Amino acid sequence: MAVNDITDGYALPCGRGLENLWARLQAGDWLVNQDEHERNCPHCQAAGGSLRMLNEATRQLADEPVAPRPALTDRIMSAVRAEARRGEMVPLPTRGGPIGVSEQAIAVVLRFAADGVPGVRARRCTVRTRSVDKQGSGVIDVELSLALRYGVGPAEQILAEVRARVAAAAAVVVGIRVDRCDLRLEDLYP
Amino acid sequence: MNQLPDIPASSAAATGDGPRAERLITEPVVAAIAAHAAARTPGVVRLEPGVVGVLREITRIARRWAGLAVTAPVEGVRVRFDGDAVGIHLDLVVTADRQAAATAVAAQRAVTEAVTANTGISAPVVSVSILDIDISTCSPVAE
Repeated sequence: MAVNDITDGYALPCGRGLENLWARLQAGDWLVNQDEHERNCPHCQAAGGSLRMLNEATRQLADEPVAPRPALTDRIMSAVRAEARRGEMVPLPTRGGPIGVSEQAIAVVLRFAADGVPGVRARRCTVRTRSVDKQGSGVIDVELSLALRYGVGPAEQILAEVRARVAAAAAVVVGIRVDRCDLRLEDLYP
Repeated sequence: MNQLPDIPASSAAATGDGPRAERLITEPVVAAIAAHAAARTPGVVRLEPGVVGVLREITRIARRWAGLAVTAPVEGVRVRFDGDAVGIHLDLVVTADRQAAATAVAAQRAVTEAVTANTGISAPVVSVSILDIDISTCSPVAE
């Protein structure tokens, strides 16, 4: 079964959904029915491999007379999400050992901030480290795609508000500076 | 034979007229102290173990069920001894109602103090990766 669309849950960097992958793996479908993307995508293959290991481990536990902890599945999903976020890190200022924050974790915060602007629905957000400032803190570039509610007001004004909120969230919630924030208005909704 | 890597604590060699002795601290002990200190830091939601960490935790729970051993949780913490140097790495999930950078520095400081106070190991290098920021701890502006 090919999976082409993700509507909820956690998306891998390639856009495919982790929860969907987990459900198919447990049903025995993922191993035998991968589409071309899944066969060639490093993110899908890495997540699938991790989930297979954990699925096997939890099955062995399930065979034990004592049942596994109810939150185990949540922890497994959280662990695999963490693996996906372990990739690119933005450095943060420190006087001790290195500190970094996941680019994907930052993207979630910035998308959430943009969603807070009335009449705006944030969609895909990507974060890239542009440079590191004198204090050792990463400076980032942001690309954010959006949909606007039809008739909500002048797009230019609303997009300026989105930019301001994204910059504020990066500074206040994360502790980094946005150098460039590219917004892509790609849809309207009623 | 014990294969665990270990490191002499700062006051390892006995002094005075007593018997010669050496205190050895193993990686799991340092990791458990670090995990405890980091998890109690304000702004830290939890330590994030990752796939390998979850597998290790499943093994730990299974061993406890089997009555083989009761060990302290060390999820989300990796410890490495390199000569006299000790490196500790934390994988964290933090709240969004505090600045992530400040939370990471606070966790770094708390772990350094706890490890030094409890083991005598001085100046461990504590590195931090923030893998997630929990946005459920702040609210967007209502539309």
